Order: sequence, then C-alpha cells, then structure tokens
Amino acid sequence: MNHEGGIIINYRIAFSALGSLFLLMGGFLTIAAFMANSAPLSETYTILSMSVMAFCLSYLYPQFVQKDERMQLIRQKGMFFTFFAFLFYSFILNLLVEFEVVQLTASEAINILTALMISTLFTSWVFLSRRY
Amino acid sequence: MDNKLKELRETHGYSQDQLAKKLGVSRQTIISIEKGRYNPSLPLALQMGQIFETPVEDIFFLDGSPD
Repeated sequence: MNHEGGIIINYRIAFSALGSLFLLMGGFLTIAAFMANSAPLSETYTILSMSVMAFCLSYLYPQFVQKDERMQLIRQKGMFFTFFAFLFYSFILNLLVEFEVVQLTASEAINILTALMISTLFTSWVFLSRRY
Repeated sequence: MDNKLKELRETHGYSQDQLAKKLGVSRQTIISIEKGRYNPSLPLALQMGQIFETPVEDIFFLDGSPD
C-alpha cells in the first residue's frame, strides 16, 4: 500500500470512529430521554445527524479527496436535492406546528431542520456516488 | 451515450489508475465513464481523444450508433 492509500484509510477509520462516538452520544441521550419518559433533547437529533455525516464521510472520503468533475457533479446534485428536501421538511414542520400536532420552540425546530438537512445532504451524496 | 473507453484503454495498455492519473481524475470517474453511468465534460473527452490520438466521436457516441 502506498503512502496516499495509507492516509486515506486512516481518515476513513477516523471518520468511522467519530461516527461511532456521535452514535454512542446520541444513543445515550435517547435512552436517557426514554427512561425519563420524555421527548429527547432537540440537540440529540443534531448529534445523530453528525453521526450520519461522519459515517457518510468515511465512505465518501476516498472519492471526495480528489476534487474532479464527477465529484463536483455529485456535490451539486446533492445540494440541489437537499434544497428541495428542505422546502418539503419546512412545509411538513409548519403544518405540524400550525395544526398543533407537535409543540416546538424555535430552537427545537431549528435543531430538527438542521439535523434533517445534514442527514439528507450526506446520504444523498452517498446515493449519488453509487449511482454515478 | 455509449463509449469505447475500455477497449481503447486496454488497447493502449493503460490501467484505470494510470489513465485516471493522466487525466487528473479519480479512478472511480474512469470506472463510471466506462460503465456509461457518467458522461464526461467536453474538456475531459477532448483530453481522452488527445491521449488515444483519436477523434472524440470515435470514443463517445450516441446509443445505437457505435461506428
């Protein structure tokens, strides 16, 4: 294995470890909320989305490290898709709040939207990198 | 769009990795182009034409018109 290959594997391991750590933290917060018989803290969603991000990056890193035209296309398409997904999430969240299905503070709503955006963006990149 | 990249690459004795390095793209990009999942940009297609010393239309062609 050459030096470059070794660095890529190290980064992949680092991202996987980071993902596991975030997953552990998110899992802990979810279990704690479950035991307290309440909804999880809104930060839990962001932490879990960071876990999704880290796992996706561990898969994508070898391709992302080379900024060629295929990766640029995947990035652009992923961001384009995420923009429409954001509009959809906002619409659904708005409906849920308007019809009082859920009661959220502004910070909770932002945390949920952020988590959804991060997860959508990175998973769409993974799907697109498998497609193209 | 279809292409003869794999044939040309093998005829000229390049591995996917070698061709990728010559073109300044990732190996995954070469794999995707060969499988027809990704259509390269015009500059990249022209670069390929230069490397294989052949017109671009001999490498890439519309579906159903291989020659």
